[in-house]
Amino acid sequence: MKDISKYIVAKIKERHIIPESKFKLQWKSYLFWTCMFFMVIIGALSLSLVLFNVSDIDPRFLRHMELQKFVMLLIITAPYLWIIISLMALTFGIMAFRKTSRGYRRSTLFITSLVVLCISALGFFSHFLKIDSHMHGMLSKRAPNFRGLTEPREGRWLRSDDGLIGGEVTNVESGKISLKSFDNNVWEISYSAETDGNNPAEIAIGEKIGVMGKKIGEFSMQAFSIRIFPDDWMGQPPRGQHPSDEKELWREGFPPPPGFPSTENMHP
Amino acid sequence: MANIQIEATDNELVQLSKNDPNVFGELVFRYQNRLFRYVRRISYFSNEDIEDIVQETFIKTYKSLNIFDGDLKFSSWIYQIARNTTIDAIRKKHARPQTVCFEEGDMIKLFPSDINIQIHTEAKNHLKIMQGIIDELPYKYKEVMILRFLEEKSYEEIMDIIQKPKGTVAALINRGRKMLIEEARNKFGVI
Repeated sequence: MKDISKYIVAKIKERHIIPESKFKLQWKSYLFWTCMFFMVIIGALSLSLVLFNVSDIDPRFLRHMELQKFVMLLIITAPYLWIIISLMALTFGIMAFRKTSRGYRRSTLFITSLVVLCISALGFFSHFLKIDSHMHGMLSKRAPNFRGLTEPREGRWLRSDDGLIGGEVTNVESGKISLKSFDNNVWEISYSAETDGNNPAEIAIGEKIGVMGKKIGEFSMQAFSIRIFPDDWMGQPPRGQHPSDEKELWREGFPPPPGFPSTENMHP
Repeated sequence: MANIQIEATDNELVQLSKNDPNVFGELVFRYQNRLFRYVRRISYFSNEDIEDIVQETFIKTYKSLNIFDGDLKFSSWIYQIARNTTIDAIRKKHARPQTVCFEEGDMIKLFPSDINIQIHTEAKNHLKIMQGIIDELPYKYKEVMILRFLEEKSYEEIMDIIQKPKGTVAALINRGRKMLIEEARNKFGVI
């Protein structure tokens, strides 16, 4: 090949070619780094929602449930939406890393491990900081029609045939608790000295509890185990009601929430 | 100045070229023949087309000097640009590279040592058969084998040139070699 060095230099000078800016040359790589960052965040938040939705599954379930039933319960009430979103975020995160300027240098195993580690660490951190609980509350408020998808945990505590019922305590008597379930049915829960979990005598009206037991009537259950849900259950403030139930409660005699229109002006 | 340029490393020349295109001439001088040979091996173009590709490669390299940070070898980087430019040219012509240009010496390097190629290349038609075997290899295998055995690049350098993980590079080379051996055995009925 003939020497083209002089020709190339002349061409560069003639066309006034100059080295382009780093940003112009690397914008795609920066874009993929940004994508990866967002995928990790989305993956972490989805993972924390998965943790939030399964955190009430207690090993004690196995004591009162057959293994098969327990596995079925897990399968039926798993937070699929959040699992799928976190897996998608993981996949897109890996793809974005691959597309960065030096992404090809790492093996798929390394990239996968790195993204999984980042998502897991941030996911557990969000769970620890209860960010998932706030998100859960926000979703309940803003997307009530998708509750079945976003809140599988609530559905888990409406499976009375499998021995699980959850809701708000409306009355406590000796050996008996009245419970308003999440689907607004009134249940009578019987307990005895053998019932484990929280001491039923210490349960206050308005508290939200989950009961594991045996269905003995249409709306009655013998409790094996009673547990009080954390205050942030369903993303509400302590003792709070679900936002969609506010109006109903107020009609039942509770004071109206601040900012709620006065009834006097509502009636003709 | 000329002596300084001759003694300078590629990375030093890159830094100097950013302000003075004349210095870039030294880099062109160092790589023009190597790139010409490499492009000829991975494409089926005429010498004029290859020259155009090499020129375009140097212009692209000059425009991209600001992103060369010494993280990889300059030779790997310029080979990477040459490869991408060649692939773009192949795409523009809407065709897959079919017949690549090899010399007899190239084939000896490409075929594993356990095949006594020299005996078989004595006859001219055998040389053509060998050329045919290499041509029939899928492009991805052919490309890495050219880099490894003809351009004598390390696995790390090939990884940077074709932008694939090292494990993939190793697998492509191994599979490519196995395919070559099998084909040679079938065609010549030897070993």
